[in-house]
Amino acid sequence: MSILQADCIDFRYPEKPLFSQASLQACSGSMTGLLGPNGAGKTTFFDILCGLKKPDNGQITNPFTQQLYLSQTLMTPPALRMYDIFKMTALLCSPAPINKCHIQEKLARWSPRILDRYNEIWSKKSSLCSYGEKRWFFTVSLLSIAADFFILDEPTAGVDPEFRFHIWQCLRGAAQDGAAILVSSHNVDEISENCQGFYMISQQKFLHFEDGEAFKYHYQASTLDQAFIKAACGADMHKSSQPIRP
Amino acid sequence: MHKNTGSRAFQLAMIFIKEQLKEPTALFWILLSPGAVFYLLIYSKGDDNFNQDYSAVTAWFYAYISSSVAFFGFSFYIIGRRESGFIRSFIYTPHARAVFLIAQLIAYSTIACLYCLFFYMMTRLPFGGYSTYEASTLMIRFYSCFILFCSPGLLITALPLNFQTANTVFSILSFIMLALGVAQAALPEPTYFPIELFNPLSLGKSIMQQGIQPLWKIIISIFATFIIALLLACKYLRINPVWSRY
Repeated sequence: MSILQADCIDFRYPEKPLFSQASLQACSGSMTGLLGPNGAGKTTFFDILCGLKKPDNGQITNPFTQQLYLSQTLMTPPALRMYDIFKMTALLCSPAPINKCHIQEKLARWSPRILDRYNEIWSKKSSLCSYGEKRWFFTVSLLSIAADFFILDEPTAGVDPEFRFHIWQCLRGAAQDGAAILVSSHNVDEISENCQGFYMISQQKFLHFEDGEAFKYHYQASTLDQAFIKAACGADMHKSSQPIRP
Repeated sequence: MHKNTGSRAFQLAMIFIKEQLKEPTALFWILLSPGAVFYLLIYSKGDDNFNQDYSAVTAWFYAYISSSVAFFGFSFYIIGRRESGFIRSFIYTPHARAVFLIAQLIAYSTIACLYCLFFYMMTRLPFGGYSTYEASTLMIRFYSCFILFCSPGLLITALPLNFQTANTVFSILSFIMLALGVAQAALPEPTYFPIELFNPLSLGKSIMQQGIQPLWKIIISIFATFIIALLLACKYLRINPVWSRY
C-alpha cells in the first residue's frame, strides 16, 4: 500500500502563519477528507503537495507516480464543447490516450445511472452547461484517467444533491480501484459519511478523526456543524463547556 | 522532454485553433476591422494609391494585425486560461507546461498565417492579381513580425494581471504603438527624435516593407529573443490565478 505522508509541515505567508508542525497521511485505496474554514489553508496545502509552494519546514513523501488535481474554481472555454475540453484535459494530464469508451466503462461500474446524463453533457457546448454540470463532469472525467493519487478541492461545491451523490459514488469506485483520494470540503456531513477518516485544520494543525462521532465527541458538540465551528474557532475541547449553537 | 510531447502539443493546438475560429469577435477585431480601416483610408486619399507598391501601402496594417494576433491571441489566451483556473488544475507540471506552450505557439502561428492570408485576399485585388510567391513572401515577413510581438506578450503573461487588466494593458500598448506610428508618419523627415526606435510596430512595418534579407540580423535577434522568452515562460509560467487569495 502506498501512503502520502506530510510530516511536521510549517508554512506561513508574510503576515499569516498557516501550518505549524502539521502532519497528514493519505493511503491508496481510500478517501481522506480535509476540512477547514475559509482561509484555513486547504488550497495552500494542495499547492504544497503539487510542488507549487515550498513548506518552511517539514517533509512531503509522495510515492504516487501519477497525480491529478482539480482546483476549487474552474471555468471552461465557452466556445468549445465539453468533449473538446475533456480532450484538452486528457492531453495535458493523462499518461496514456483516453477516449469516451474508456470513461463510460468506468462510470458504468462506479455509478451506472450517471451514464445517460454524462453522454448528454459530453456533446453539450460549454457555454450552455451550468457550473454544477461542469463541476461534476470534470470530477468524474478526471477520475477516469489512470492516476494513483487524486487531489480534489471542493469537488461538490455548487453541485446539486443528485450529482453530489454520483460524485461520491465515483470517488468510492476510484478508491476501490486502488487510487488514493484526498478531498476537501466545507460540508462536514458528506466528508464524515464518505471518507475513511478525515483531517480538520484547526490551530494550524491537521487534527485526525476516524469519523463524525469522534469529531463531535472531541469538541463536545451535539452536531457536526457545531463541532466544525468549535474547531474553526480554535476551541480547546478540554476547557470549553458552553455549547456553540450554529 | 517526453516522447509524445510533440504529438500531444499538435493535438492540443488543433483544439485551440478550433476555439479561436469559433470566436467571431476575435475575427472581427483582429482582421475585419483593420481591413475596413484600410479601405476607408485608401479611398479617402483617392484612387491613386492603388498604383503604388502593395507592400509599402499595406505594411503598417500587416504589422498591426501581427501585433494583435500576438497580444490578443497568443498572450491573452495564456492569461485567460490561468484566470479561469485551467492552468492551476491541469498545467502545473513541467511536462504539461511544455505541451501547453508549444501547443499555444503552434495554434497561434497557424492563426497568424491564416490571418495574413485572409488580409492578403481582402486587399490585394485592387492592386492587381494575386501571386503565390508574393503571398508566401509576405507570410514569412508577417510571421517574423508576429514572433517580434510574442516576446513582450509572453513577458506580460508573467505579470500578476487579471483578465480585465490584461485586456486593458494590451489595448493601451496597441494604442501607444499606433499613436507613435501616426506621429512618425506625420513628422517631417529627418526628425530630431527617432520615434521608430521606441516603436516595435515601426520595426514590424519595416520588416513588412523591406523584407527579411536587408534586416536579417534583426530577424535573428527577434527569433533568439523569442526562444529565450519561451524557455523562461516554460519555467516560470504563472500558475495560480491572480484572483486567488495569495
